[in-house]
Amino acid sequence: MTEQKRVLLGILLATGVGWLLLAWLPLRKLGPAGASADGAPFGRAALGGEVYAANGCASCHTQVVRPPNLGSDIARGWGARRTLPSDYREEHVIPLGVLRLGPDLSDVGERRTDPRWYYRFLYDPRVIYPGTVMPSYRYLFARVPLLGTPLPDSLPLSGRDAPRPGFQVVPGPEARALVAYLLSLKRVPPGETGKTP
Amino acid sequence: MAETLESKETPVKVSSGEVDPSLRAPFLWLLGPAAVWLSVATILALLGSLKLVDPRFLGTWGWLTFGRISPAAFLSFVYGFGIPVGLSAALWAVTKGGRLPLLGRRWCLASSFLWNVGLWGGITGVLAGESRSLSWLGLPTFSLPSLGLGYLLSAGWLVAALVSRWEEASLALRFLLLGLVWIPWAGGAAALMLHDPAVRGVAMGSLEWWFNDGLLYAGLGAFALGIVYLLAPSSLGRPLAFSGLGRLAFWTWALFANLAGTAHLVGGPFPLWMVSLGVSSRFLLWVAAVAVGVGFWVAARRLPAEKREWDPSWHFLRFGMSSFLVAAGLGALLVLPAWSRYVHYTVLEEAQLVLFLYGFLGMTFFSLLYALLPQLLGRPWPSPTLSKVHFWLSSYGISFLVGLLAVGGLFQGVGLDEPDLPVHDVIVLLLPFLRSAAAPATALLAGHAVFGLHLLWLILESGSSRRGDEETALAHADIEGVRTP
Amino acid sequence: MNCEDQPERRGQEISSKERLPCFFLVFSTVIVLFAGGFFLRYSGGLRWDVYDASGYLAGLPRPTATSAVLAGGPAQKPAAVNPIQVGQDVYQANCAACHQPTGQGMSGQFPPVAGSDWVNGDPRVLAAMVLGGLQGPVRVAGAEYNGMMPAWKTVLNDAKIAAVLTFLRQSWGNHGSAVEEDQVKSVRAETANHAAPWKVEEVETLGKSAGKEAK
Repeated sequence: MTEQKRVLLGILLATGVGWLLLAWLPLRKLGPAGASADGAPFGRAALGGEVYAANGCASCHTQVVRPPNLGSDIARGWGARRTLPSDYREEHVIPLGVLRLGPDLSDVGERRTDPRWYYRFLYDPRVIYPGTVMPSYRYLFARVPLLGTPLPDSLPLSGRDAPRPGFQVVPGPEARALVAYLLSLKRVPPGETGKTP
Repeated sequence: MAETLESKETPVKVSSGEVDPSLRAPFLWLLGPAAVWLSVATILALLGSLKLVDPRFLGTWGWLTFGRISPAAFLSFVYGFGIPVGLSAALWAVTKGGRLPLLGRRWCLASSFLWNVGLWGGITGVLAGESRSLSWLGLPTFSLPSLGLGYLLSAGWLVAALVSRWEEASLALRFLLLGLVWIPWAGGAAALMLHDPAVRGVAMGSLEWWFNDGLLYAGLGAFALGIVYLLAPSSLGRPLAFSGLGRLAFWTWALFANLAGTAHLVGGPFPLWMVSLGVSSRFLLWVAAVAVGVGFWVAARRLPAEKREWDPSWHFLRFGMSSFLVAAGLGALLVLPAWSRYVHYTVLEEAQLVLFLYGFLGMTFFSLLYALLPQLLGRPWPSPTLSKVHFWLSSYGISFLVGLLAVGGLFQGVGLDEPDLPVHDVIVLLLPFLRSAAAPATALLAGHAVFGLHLLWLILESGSSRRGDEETALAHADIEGVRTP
Repeated sequence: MNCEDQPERRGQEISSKERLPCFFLVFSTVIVLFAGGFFLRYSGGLRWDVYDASGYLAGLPRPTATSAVLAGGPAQKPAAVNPIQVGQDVYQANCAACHQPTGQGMSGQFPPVAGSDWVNGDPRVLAAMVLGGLQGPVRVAGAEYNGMMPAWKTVLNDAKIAAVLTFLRQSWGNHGSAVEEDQVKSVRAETANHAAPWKVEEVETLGKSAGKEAK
C-alpha cells in the first residue's frame, strides 16, 4: 500500500473511532429504549423545545446539573441531583448549553410553576430583573384589540410596556409552546431525590 | 514543492504569468465570496457584542435576537470564510502554487455556487429561527444538500489530485488531506444521524461535541496547520524542523481531535470514561501542538534578515502560531475537572474559542491570502500601510477580546460557584467586561474592513492592467461591491 | 492509546539533523504520562453507569464553604441582611409579574397589594394565602377580582416568605407589622394538609379561629 493510501485510510479510521466512541456506542447504551418514536415527547412541549432551540436559548442557559464536586448547581437549588442520561432519554432537543449568562434551566418547571410569570418575564425581563442582559422576546407575543374584558391570559402590562388603549397583549403560539416546554422541565422524577447511581 | 514556494520569497517581482490562467477563476470563486462572508460574520459578531452592551439595541426584532445572531456569526465565519480558504489552500498545494492544471476545475464554479447558495439559505434560516441549536451543526436542514454537494464537487477533485501528486514526507499535504476528508466524512455522518428520528437522548449531545471539536481541530485546524507547513518554506526560507516529530504530531492530531469533544461535557450526563477520554485527549492535542510549535520556532530562529522587516504573510503566520499554542494549552488546562467547577460555562471558555477561531484560524488564513493573492493577480499588494493597519487592528482586537473575556470569565466562575450569590448579581459583575469587549470587537471589524478595501484595491488595479482576465476580475469586483458600504 | 511509546519514538528523532530542545522532551513526557495516568485513574472501569469520581483531579466538594453555610449561616445571616431588601428581591422576582413593580396590580385582573386590607390585616391569613394560593372571587380595595394565585409553598422557604410579607406590609404606604419566620413556619405546619388553593371564606375562618385560639 502506498503512503498516501495509508494516510487516507488512517484518517478515515481515526474519524471512525471518534464516531464509534462518541456517537454510536452512546446511542446504543444511553439512547432511547426502542428505535420507534413511541416514547418521544410530542405536543406543545415538544414544539416548545424547538422554539427553545431556534431562538438560541442555549447560548446563555445550560440544562445540566453538575454533581456537588463540580459546581454549586445543587446548592443553588437548580436540581436535586446531577443530570443523568435517563433525564434526556427520549428527547430530540438536547440543549446541554455552553455558557451560563443566566440560571440553569434543567429543573425550572419545578421552581416556577406559573405560566403567567413566564409570559411576563419573556415579554420584558427588565421589569422583573432590572439591568439583566436577557433579551425581550416580544416577537413571540401578539397585540390584539381589546373587546370587553381582557382575555384570561392577556399580559398584565403597565408603564412603558402597556399597549395602546383598546389593545391587549396575548402570548402567541410560539410563546405558549415555549412556556409549555419550560414548565415541563422537571428532570428529577417525583419522589426521586436520591443520589446518583 | 519547496522550490516552487521559495520563488514566493520576493512577491514584488512575481510575473503575472506564474499562475495558470485557467486556475484564476476557481481561486477567485472560492476567495471572493469568502471575503464577503468574513464581513458578514464580523458584522454579526459585532451586533451580538452590542446586544450585550444594551439588550434593547435594535429593538426586539426576532431576526436579530442575540440567540440567533451569535450562532449565525460563528457559522458564517467557519463555513463562509474558513472552509473556502481551506479549500483554496488545498488547491494551491495540489497545483504547486497554481502551476499545474487541475482536472475538475470547471466544477469549482458549480461548487462555489452551490456552497454559497446553501450557506445564504442556511444563515438566513438561522436568523429566521429554523436552527436546531446544535452549535456547528446548527445550519437548517434545507441548506445541507446544497452545502454537501457543493463541498464534494470541489473537494473530490482536490483529494484525487492530492493523492495522485503525493509527496513523501510532506506534512502540508497530510494536514490538508485530513481537513479535506474529515469534514465530509464527519459532517455527513453527523447530519444523517441527527435527522434520524430514532436518534434521541444524550447521544445527540456527544455527537454534537464530537463534531464541534473535530471541525475546529481536525477540519479547520488541519487546514490551518497545512497552511503553516505550506507557507513556512517561503516565509522562513526553510521547512519546519523535526519532520519526524511532525508526522507523529499529525497522527496524534488526527486521532485525538476526534476524541477531544467530550471534554466540554465535564459534569454532564455522560459516563466518567467518556469525559476522561476527552480531557486526556485535550492534553495529547496540546503535546502535538507544542511539537508543531517547536518545529516552527526552531526554524524561525534562523529567519533571513529581510523577513524581520514588514512581511504581512509572515507576521500573520507568527501571530497565528502563537495563538495556536496558547489556545491548545488553555484547551487542555481549562477542562481539568479540578477547576472546571470554576471555569466551566463561563466566558473564559468563550475566550479560548475566540483565540482559536480568530487568533489561530483567522490569522493563519489571512497569512495565506497575503501570500497567495499577489501571485494569483500578478501584482503586489498596493499598500504595505494598509496591511500593517489590518495586522495591528486584528492582533490588538483579538488580544484584548480574549483578555477581557478571560478575566471576566474568572469573576463569573467564582461568582457562580458561590451558591448564596444570585445569578443575576454574578452577571451584573461580569457585565463591565462583556460591555468593554465591544471595543476590541469593533477594532476587529475595522481590521477586516481595511483588508476588504485593500483587496478591492488590488483587484481593481490588476483588473485595469489586464485584458485577458477582465471578466473574472469584474465578476469578483461585483461581489465585493456588495460588502463595501 | 499510543501515549506510552511516544517518548521512545521521539528519542530516535534526535539523531536527525536538529536536536530536540530539552524542554520539549520533558514537557511532552510529563504531559503524555499525565494524560495516560488521568485516563487510567478516572476511567470508571469503562462502565456505562459510573458517572462520578472523587479525588483532587476530579474536583473536590467545598466542605468548608458548605459547612459554614450549614452551621454558621443562619446565625449570621439575619444580622447581615435587611429583610425588607430580601423581600423586595423576592417580590421583584416572583410577584411583580402580576401585582406589578408598583404594587398596584392590574385593574380587573390582579388585585393591588398597596393599600389592600388583606395585606395590612392578619399576617397569618396573608401567610396562608401566599403559601397555598387563592382562587375564586375576592374583594380588594373596593373592587371585585376573580382569578387564581398559585401556591408558593414549594417555591419559597419560610424565611423568604416572611421577608416578602414584611416588605409588602411596610411598603407603598402600608403600615403592617413585620412578619417573623416562625409565624410562617407555624402557618405552614397548620395548613400542611390543605392541598388545593384557598377560597376566601376558608381563609377568613382560619384567621378567626386562630384569633380565638390566641385569645
